[in-house]
Amino acid sequence: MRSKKLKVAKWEIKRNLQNKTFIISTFVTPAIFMFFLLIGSFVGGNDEPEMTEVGSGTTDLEVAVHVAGDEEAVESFQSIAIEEAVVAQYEPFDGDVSELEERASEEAIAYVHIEDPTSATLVVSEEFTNGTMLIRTEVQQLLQSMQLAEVGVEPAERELVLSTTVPIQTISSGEEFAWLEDIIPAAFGGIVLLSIIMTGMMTLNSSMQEKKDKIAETLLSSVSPNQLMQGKILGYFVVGMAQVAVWLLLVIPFAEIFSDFTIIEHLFTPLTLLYLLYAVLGYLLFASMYVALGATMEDASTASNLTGMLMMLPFLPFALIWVFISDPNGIVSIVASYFPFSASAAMIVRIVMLDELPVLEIVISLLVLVVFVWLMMNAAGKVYRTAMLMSGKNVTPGEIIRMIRHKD
Amino acid sequence: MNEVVVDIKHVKKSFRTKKAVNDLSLSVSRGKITGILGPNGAGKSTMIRMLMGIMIPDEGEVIYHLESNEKIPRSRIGFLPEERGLYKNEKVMDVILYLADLKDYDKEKAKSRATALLARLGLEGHEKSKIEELSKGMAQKVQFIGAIIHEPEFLILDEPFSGLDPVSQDVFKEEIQALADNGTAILLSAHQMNIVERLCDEIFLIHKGEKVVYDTVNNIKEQFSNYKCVLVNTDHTYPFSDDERVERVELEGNQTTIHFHQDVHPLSYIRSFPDDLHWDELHIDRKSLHDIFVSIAKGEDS
Repeated sequence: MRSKKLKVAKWEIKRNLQNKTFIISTFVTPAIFMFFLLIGSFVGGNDEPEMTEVGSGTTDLEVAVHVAGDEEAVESFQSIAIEEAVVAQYEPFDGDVSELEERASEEAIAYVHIEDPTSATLVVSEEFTNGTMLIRTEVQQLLQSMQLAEVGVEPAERELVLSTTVPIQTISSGEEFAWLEDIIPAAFGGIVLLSIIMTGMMTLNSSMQEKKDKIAETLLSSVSPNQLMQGKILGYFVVGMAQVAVWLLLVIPFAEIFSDFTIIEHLFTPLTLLYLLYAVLGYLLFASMYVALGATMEDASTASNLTGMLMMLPFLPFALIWVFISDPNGIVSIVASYFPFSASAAMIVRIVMLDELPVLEIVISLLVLVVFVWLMMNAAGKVYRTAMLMSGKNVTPGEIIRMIRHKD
Repeated sequence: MNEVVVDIKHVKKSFRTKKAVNDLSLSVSRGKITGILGPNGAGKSTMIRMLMGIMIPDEGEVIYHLESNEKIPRSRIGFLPEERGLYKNEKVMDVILYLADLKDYDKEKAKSRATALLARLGLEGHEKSKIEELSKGMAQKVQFIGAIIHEPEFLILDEPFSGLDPVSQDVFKEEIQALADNGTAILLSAHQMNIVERLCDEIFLIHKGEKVVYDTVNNIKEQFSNYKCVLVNTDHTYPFSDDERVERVELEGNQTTIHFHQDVHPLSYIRSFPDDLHWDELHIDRKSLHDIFVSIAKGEDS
């Protein structure tokens, strides 16, 4: 026979997974993410790694390049160029090289200065932007071809030798994505934490609605208040995780296809488990607080100031997130690591930002969280079972304190 | 059949300084309907919540004689609370099956029983309707089905007739009687004294957390229901109350109601009326449970 806690959890899971609003929000969030990813991919315009090919000989620039220098060499270069050049048009220059040098300082030109058949210089003015590298490679090839012709190599053989090109591919360094190794498990932990804080808030609505719908007493005639409360916490945890699972199932394949990220290989690491542990403890703390707060209210809009402040507590670390990132070893970050309501988020960020795992701090913050989860669940149980039966008014902060102090 | 299913022994419960229930004892037996009566704030709901384990008595104990490992055998108890409500956005059958599941009742049995009960209570074809689509009375029937879906051995009904039209009240009465006839022990809290009088085998009357009377309906009527005499269109200036046999006189419209002290038979009093005292009608009756309840609530028969 299943425990009643599990029955309550199953009911809450079923209700939420059939709830239109929940379904829409579950699918819309990754859809928005994918939309922006797709837009980014189209705007970026290139789904290959950044790569420049040089010397493939397939570009036809039709750029005019003057050839000057040793007369004989220029002539023989020219005869080869007429047959083999594809990148630029090489035009012999009759005047002195110094003239070209002068012009290069004034206008955008390029010229090849051939001193002898084995030595040539490509000179370009600063303003010349027409594929200098390609022209240089072609000039080199033409010079080599010229030399090979001089030693009697036939044009077909020359082509065979010179067509063996080694394209240069400039690929963005793998180091660019090295940060993913640290970020992905933490981002996963952060997403889980955020998602289950949101679903934790749903436990507040659930108890508030049950109180409003006056079904609490019927339920409490079948299950104990603690079973009901724990069933809700468990049920909404599964709902939150299901939401994250849907997001990952939709986003990961999409990101793998349309971007350069390799999420999967960085996702399943021991650190992910640590982040998950922080997220789960954070959830238990917030959800038990929310479920009890929900029982104290008839309506969220009439909540007392204290209740409103308590409701906002789980969002406190998100306001401090930049402090944790910019100064992970600062006093604010360290104090936040030991404050139960910010410990999860603070530690997830700090572990990413710090070079070494602060093992002692991890142990202390986990201990703080475990103790506070236990205390919170006890206090929430006391508040929940009394407040759920108080109808017609919101429970005052004084009454909440009295409920918590009441001995069983 | 007089098998006790639950004993409540000297229970006390206070909320801060207010004594909600003070030293109450009660037993409910199989096949019997026990009425728990009292004015608002008498402590009925607190008693019921202690029976359900929703509240824990400060003193005294609640002992169930049902086969179960639990102190409060929730799966064997049915409960229709005064605060009525169900999941508004859920379907009728889903809610009933969830409540049956919480009572560890077999799902298939629950399904066929729910279908039969819905038909019997005039809700056939509403299995897939959402609760919010039902009228208040229909929703109340669904909640009643939720309370009895698991064939409870002990059923607590807190104000089951409130808000129901007379036809639905009759349907509920028949169902409650049928459950008792099948051996269910029933604790019924209601303000409809005529129904209580007809349905209940015994009555536990409380006021301000204290027991006033706990006996069978007949014994209570013997004990408390003195005679009363109603005269229609008589001379209301006649000094009826001057007679020491008369407890009090009530004037309402053209009716004069004379309440007698205990053990006074109205015939002897009527014989002493002067010959010229006129009336159109004369009715002699015992005080109803309603009168007794009102008297006690007003502190007249304490």
